[in-house]
Amino acid sequence: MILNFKKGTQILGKKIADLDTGEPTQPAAQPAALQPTPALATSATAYAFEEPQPGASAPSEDWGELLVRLLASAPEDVAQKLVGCLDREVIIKVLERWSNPYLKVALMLITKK
Amino acid sequence: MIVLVTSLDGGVGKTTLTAAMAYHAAVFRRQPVLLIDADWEKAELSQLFRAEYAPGWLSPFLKGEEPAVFKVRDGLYLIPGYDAAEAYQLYDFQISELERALETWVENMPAFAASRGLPPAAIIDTTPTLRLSFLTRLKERGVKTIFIADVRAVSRVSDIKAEQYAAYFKLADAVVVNNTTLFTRNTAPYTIRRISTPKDLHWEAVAKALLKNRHNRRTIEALLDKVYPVSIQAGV
Repeated sequence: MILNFKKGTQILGKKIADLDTGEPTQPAAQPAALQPTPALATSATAYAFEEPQPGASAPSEDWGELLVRLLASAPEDVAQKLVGCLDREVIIKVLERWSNPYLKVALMLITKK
Repeated sequence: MIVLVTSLDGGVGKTTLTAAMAYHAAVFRRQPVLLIDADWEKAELSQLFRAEYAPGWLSPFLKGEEPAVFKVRDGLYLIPGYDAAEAYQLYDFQISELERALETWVENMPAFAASRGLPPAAIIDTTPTLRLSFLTRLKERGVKTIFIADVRAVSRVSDIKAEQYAAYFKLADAVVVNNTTLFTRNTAPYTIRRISTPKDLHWEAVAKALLKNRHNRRTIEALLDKVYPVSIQAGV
């Protein structure tokens, strides 16, 4: 017998508050490697999906937001076809309304002459 | 809700199917999923997800350690299986010990997930040829089993092989035939068409490549409807 079932069952049945809260030991990081979630979630709904937060100036249900949601959730081939039908300026205009630093940098890159 | 993806032969697409189901559930159906890499022979799911080496699902039993949980993306988590695969090579395990450890996971999953804020729905990738007695015990505990095979399952290699498949089919909640071609496309209720292997063997690229095919997308959708219907909402 190599496995300790008593200990294993205790750990699986333990509540997060009873666990050692020390940081998990991590080997040298690799750029594309997944890292363990250091602090396991403590609320019952921590796994719930986070809704995207539009910028303050963007209305929550306007056509631009609906378009972005459609493109983001459509299968890749469908999204590619739809993007191909849209005017580049229209897409940029929609994206500009979102106040997200990453988006801003991405926009700077794609509009760079 | 726990789903086990298993097979009789190796290399038939268990890990790919697991990744595609998880991707489709989390991205398109917004159903959160916890993946467990219980392939104690190879831990391929952990590798496909490029998870760092960390204590996995066997670590509570092996070293008395809390398993690491990787947040892959919104609504998608992974518990790796590296240490189980390593231990499988190093120690003289009784298969019954590994089976018992996995059964203990199944038994404790609701409490484990709830206390750590993880999704109550889990998909477990496994090693091929799990024993029928073990699958029967899991079934009795309410685990849904997806059995995947390639076209050998419908080509009757031998009578013995046919009997083996029949025994697994009987226990499965869904049977998937992978890598079908034009001639074998309607051989099972759930079939997955052959796709070209993506250059980047990363889970998301593989899942997207599989789901790009409309037939495959329908298959995955139907499988999820069968084992993880939208009516089973997280936490309910």
